[in-house]
Amino acid sequence: MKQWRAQPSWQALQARDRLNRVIRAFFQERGVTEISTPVLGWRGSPDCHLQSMEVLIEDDRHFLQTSPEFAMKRVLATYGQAIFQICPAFRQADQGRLHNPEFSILEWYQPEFELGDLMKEVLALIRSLPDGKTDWTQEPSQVSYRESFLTEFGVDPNIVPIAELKSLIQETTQQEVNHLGDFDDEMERSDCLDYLFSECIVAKFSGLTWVVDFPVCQAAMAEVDEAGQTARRFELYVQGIELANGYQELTDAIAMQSRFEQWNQYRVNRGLPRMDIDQRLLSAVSELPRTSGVAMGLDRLMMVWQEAENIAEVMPFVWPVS
Amino acid sequence: MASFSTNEFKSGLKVLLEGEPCSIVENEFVKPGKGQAFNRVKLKNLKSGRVWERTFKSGESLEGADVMEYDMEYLYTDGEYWHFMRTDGSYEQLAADKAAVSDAMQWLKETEKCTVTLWDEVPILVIAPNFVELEVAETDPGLKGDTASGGSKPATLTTGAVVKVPLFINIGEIVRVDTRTGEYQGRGKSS
Repeated sequence: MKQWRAQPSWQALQARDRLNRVIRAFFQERGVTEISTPVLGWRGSPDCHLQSMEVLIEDDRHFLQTSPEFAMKRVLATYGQAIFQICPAFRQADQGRLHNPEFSILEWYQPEFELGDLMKEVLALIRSLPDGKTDWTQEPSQVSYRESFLTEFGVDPNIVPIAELKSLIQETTQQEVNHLGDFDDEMERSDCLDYLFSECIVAKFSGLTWVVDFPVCQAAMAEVDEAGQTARRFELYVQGIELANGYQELTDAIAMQSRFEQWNQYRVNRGLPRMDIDQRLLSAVSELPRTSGVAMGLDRLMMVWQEAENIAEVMPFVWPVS
Repeated sequence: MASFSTNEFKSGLKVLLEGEPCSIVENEFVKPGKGQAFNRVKLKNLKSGRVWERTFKSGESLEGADVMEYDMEYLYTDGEYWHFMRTDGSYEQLAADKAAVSDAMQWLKETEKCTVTLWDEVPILVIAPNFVELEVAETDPGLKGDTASGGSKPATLTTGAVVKVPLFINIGEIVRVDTRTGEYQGRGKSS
């Protein structure tokens, strides 16, 4: 095998070209403006499960973006206009059938849109792909994260003790679970919920599936409803593969700051270095219009559209690049 | 011995897990968008043959196990140990205990070529050849001329294994057996 050669078929690269054109035409028609923001930033995400790649510039640490969210929110707060971007994102160590440390994100923000409006737009975008899959035309199923815990396990995901979640994991899964820690914080809760949810609920997904009503510990940068029960967030799964992640964006800078501080505490609990909080982003958050936004993994969209088994079939070169 | 991180867990890699030598069967990286990354790993315990399914935190590592597989010829047993000889010209001999020989015991005939797995140079597993030819030591008398009807009867082979054979097989005949299933395959070529 010639090591220098790109691996995918030429047809796969042509399909990617077609995908980019369809996306641009879709947003042009809807008056959404394409922007480009730098991939290198002065702050990374404090999310303890995202490992930013660092770039040293004269002893100053900079970070390759794990998503364009911070930069796009600053643009959105400046102009208040609907924007989209197709860009690379970098997440250290993520490699597998569905993962490459460098991958492509399509992210867009629609001021004035409520979460439901944005879900309709996500669906319309997927359906606008030529040679789409037959089940994409059917109405997607919708699964409430909160309801599935209440009905499937009889527990409220927001308050069930973490120890109880761990015994549920032991009872319901076939394998010895060894990757969860013992941190007894809300991130540990989130990890336990997430593992149960993916093993017992997502495993049964077929076709297009929306997940909504996330527990509060998974609010990330999304709003929480008035009752304080669920995060206004959605995920779209295609054949059980997570494809898109949308928020009714949190516009309360004080709440955002306290979440960031909490995330840094999770980092400290796990022996990870803190991430300095991006003050420019925090200032922008308070100026954000009411908006919803979504990020979609374009390489994964390629995979489900082109029926590829491995992300390497749709990218010219995968990690490690040689 | 080197240690291996989850991203180096390739199928066939030999590692130590809880002090037991294992071979990686499958390794899948799982990373939910919002959660802890982990690897779902299937490992085969090389001593017991049992397959474990287990999750590891991504980046976690396991120590490599010094495991080698050799083609060896079975020599004899002294009742406690089963003795084998390398077939690579070194004539090196090794003794495997009952636990290592386990299931293979009932198929071992002198000069039989086996696969012997060594861990830290000690035999931990003996695999008999897929097909063996063994003599029938004991069985009910054969029915003369009955080569067509589908009946079967148990036969004890000289190694002690009991297999189901067709009614026409007699004591002293050589039969061919699939050691993986314990099923009769036909009369042996040498009979």
